[in-house]
Amino acid sequence: MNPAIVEAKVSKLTVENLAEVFLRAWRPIFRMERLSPARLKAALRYWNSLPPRGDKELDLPTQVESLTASEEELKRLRLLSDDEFSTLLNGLWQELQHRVGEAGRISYWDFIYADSYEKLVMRAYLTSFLLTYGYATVDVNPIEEEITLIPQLKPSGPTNHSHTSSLPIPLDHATWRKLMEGHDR
Amino acid sequence: MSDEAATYAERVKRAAQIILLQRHRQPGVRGWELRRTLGKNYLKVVELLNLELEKVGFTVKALSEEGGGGSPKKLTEEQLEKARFFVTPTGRMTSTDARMGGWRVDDLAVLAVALAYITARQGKAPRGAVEKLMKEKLPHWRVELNLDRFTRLGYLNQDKDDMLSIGWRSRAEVDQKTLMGLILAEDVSKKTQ
Repeated sequence: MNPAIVEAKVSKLTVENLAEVFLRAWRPIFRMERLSPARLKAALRYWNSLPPRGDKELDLPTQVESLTASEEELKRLRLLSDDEFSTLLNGLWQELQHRVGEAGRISYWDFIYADSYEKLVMRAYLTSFLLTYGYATVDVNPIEEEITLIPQLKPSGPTNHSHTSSLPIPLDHATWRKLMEGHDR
Repeated sequence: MSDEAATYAERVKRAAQIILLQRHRQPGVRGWELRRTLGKNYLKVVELLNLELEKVGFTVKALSEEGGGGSPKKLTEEQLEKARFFVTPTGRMTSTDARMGGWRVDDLAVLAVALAYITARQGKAPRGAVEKLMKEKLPHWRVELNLDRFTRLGYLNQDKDDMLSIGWRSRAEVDQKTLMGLILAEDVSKKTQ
């Protein structure tokens, strides 16, 4: 077969057409992942390497205090929210690690995409904390306007602000609609 | 259920575990590994497993070292020993399936072009030529990233002279005749609908 013909045909096809063609010819190998003893050992090593939480856990406010003043009660509510926030953040970090697959990275927009605008904003908000707290890093390609997220295996802790720069990413309802159209295609 | 049937049922379960659960870095399991665990009649067990899997849209395939295969019945006893056994879906994938598996539309397009071009060049093509072919469609860095990834996953092979060839995993997963036929079709957009 003449490679020039393939070149000519390929040049006429869009990326979507090419992907569609590939899907019709593709029967990927199906396999199930499982925990191996080696992975369990690695998890145990990681767990043991985590710094102890120390007295923080013991420093909980007593129930009596929570009933005495409304301001303090609010603070406590905020503390509870912090816990929930940590859980959400941790969940999102795990999702990020899972979704990057073999490539080790994922498009920022693919990752924050959700089926409603409210959820999208929430995911973008939480993702910004993943970056601030060192759960992930971001790679920006200014020419292609690509923003890529790369999860860290271990959070590196809050970033030192003297060495960081901020990355404003505008997010509005129209952006979400565009993303949704892209996903539905 | 007779004793013999019960034994076979147990061996079919075992075969499913061996083939489906990831044991090595690369997916699938070799024929000799199946024989060692399931006994000399392992092909009969695999056949029974296949009957069960077909009910839910999957099939067991075997790929010989030389790259030929499909149904294990197509291979000789000698080829089966070293062949890689694995399970694939019988039906086509949707773009949603692919996305859920972590594949982007761009990834699929790059692999489609690489495989078609390599096939057209009689099985070997310079990596630079494949990159050039995708230049107008995708950013160069994304094409590079994908080609590296596909080489790592076994979809493509790359030699020291940067020549690409088709890897074992593409032979296992991609119907290259269908792929070429669709790419060369007059109007792909109509054919793929």
